[in-house]
Amino acid sequence: MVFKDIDIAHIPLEQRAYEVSFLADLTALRSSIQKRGIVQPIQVKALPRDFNEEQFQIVSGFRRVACAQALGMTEVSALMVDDRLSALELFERAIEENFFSRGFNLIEKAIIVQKIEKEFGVMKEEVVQKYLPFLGLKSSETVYQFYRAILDLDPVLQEYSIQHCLPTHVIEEWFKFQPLDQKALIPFLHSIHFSVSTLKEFLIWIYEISLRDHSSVSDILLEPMQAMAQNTALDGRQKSFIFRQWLKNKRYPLLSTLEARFVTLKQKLHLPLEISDFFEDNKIHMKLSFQNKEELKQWLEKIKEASLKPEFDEILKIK
Amino acid sequence: MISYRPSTIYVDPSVQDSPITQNILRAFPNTPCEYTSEKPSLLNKLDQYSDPLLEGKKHLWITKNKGKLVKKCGASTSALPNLICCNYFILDFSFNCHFECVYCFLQEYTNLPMMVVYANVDEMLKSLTEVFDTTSSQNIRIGTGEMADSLALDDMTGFSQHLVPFFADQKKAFLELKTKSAQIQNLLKLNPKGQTVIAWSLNPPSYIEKYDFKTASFEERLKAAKECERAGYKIAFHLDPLIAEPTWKEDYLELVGHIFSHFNPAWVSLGALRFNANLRGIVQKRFPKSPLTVGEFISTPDGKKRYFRQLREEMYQTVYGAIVKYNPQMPTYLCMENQVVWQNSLGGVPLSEQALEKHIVSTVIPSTPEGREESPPEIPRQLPN
Repeated sequence: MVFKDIDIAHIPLEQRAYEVSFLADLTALRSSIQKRGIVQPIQVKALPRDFNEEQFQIVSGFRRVACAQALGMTEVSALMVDDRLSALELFERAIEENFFSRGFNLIEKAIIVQKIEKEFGVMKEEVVQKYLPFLGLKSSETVYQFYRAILDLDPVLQEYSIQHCLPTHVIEEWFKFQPLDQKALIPFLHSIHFSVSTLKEFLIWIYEISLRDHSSVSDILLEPMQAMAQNTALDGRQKSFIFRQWLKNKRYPLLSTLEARFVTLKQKLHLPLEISDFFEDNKIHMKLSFQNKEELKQWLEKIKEASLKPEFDEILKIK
Repeated sequence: MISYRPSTIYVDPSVQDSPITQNILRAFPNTPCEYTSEKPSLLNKLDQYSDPLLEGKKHLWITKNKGKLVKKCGASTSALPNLICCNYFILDFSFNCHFECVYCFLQEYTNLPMMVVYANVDEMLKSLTEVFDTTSSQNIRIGTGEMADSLALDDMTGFSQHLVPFFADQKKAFLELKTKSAQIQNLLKLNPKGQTVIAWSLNPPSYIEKYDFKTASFEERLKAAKECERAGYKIAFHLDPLIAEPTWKEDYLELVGHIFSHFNPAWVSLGALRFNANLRGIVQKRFPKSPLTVGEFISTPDGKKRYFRQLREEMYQTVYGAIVKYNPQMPTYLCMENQVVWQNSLGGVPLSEQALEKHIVSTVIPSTPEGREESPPEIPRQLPN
């Protein structure tokens, strides 16, 4: 193994066959290099000389070189890899080094899977059997398909998934949408505050509405988009609440209508009524509290009075 | 209908001499066959396929059912409060189904996605006898169609040739073979002596085309039903799952009209589409363009997704209303529903499990059999106003 300080100018940075970075946050790395220099040498492969000048291709250390460049450094220390190693072996080495030093996000793993297959010519079966476990993944077709599909996602959704650390079961919901529909989702992601569970619910409901009504995502979202554009004072959480209600009404029209009617009747009856389990048990529940007999008597009077109203009969019908 | 042809057969040596095993091996003399007393190793490799369920079904495992052979239907242990149970018994002679019905709950059994045939038929018959001897009911109904289609594989297994004659000699038990197939060749050679009911799960023809892949078509099912009727079998229909398509009302009214203008069924069951929460994801993954899951489903206390209650009740009222117009005495029951839904849909609630059981078989029990009570069905017949 040979260590050597090499001139960054001798690294053709357009050669990025071994790179697997996606949305790398270089702040901490840059700060570390500024303080202590490059502690871990990058790995490079010697290229044929260009006009008698040494040339090196980065095998591992793209982010370190990018930081060094940004800091105005002209040289980096590098480990020269064995000339006899094949391109695939070098890529494996790059993966291994990065895997243990920083780990990979989902998109990076997908890039690796794709490169192994497309650029290094490994058959799909071997990718599933050998390289998925190499990346700490289950050796299965489903996992393979997931990592293939994630690279077909709209790049903005890829970024969103990584920035919000979305779990795979939520990312899978994106896959159901066609490219145009994926694009139509993007403005919402940026204007509404979603938790992971509300985002999943949002995606499921939107997809099911589009399937049910044979309409595109942009058509479905047109109305709430206009409403939000007019209501600039709302913050992300308020928008999320209002939007969820709107979407629920659209996804569950019968249930929403009944719930709305129940609330109206309840207000007119002035009783602490509750409906449980989506109207499934055919009962109305009432929860009241009192401190003494007098308060209880007042409640009983209220209940008696309410029971004589036509709204009481109606609420019993819709329960 | 697409008949089943396994690409590999795994045989558990403990059942290699069973007539069921022999029938299957005779039916597929050129299919690769492996003898193994363990679970087929293929099960560990199925996740290498994009649709392990589809791939798994290409392989058939003939083995012994080591569990309880006859058990109460799953509804009896449901967590749904006030569920009305019809006291049904299940004989598990097979597991899984090669028909691809979009809504099928068997898709959830991802740990065993193979076709399994349990070949210890002698033990099954012995187990049935024990149940008959220890059960007080005079109207025991035994079905084989819970974890599999009762007849889908009958041309190769020949199970019916064991079960129908066995039940023909029974005095207090009926066999119900529940199917979406048209595999009735074996049945036509047998004499059920009134103790076997062949029940077809039915939906309007366009729904069958949309949701029941590989099954017999609507016409094929009814043709098979007619042939069985002529051969002496009682016929029943399960309108289950009822699916709330936009035109469901007209579609189901037409379906009921069709059934009752051609048959006088022994009983009819109704069950609105329902599924466990997991199944929705599986269906959306396996059939991404299917509109099946886009109905107005809500979570019910037993963890299942069901149509919103008011919609279910409207569906049951509509279909039941049509049924009683054709035959006011038709034994009709709801599957996996609670007392509230029964009351609001059929206008009454059975007094007990036994009462419901008696009501269901009221048209198939002989008029004055020895040892059988004669009493009118106890389900109120009137629909709510």
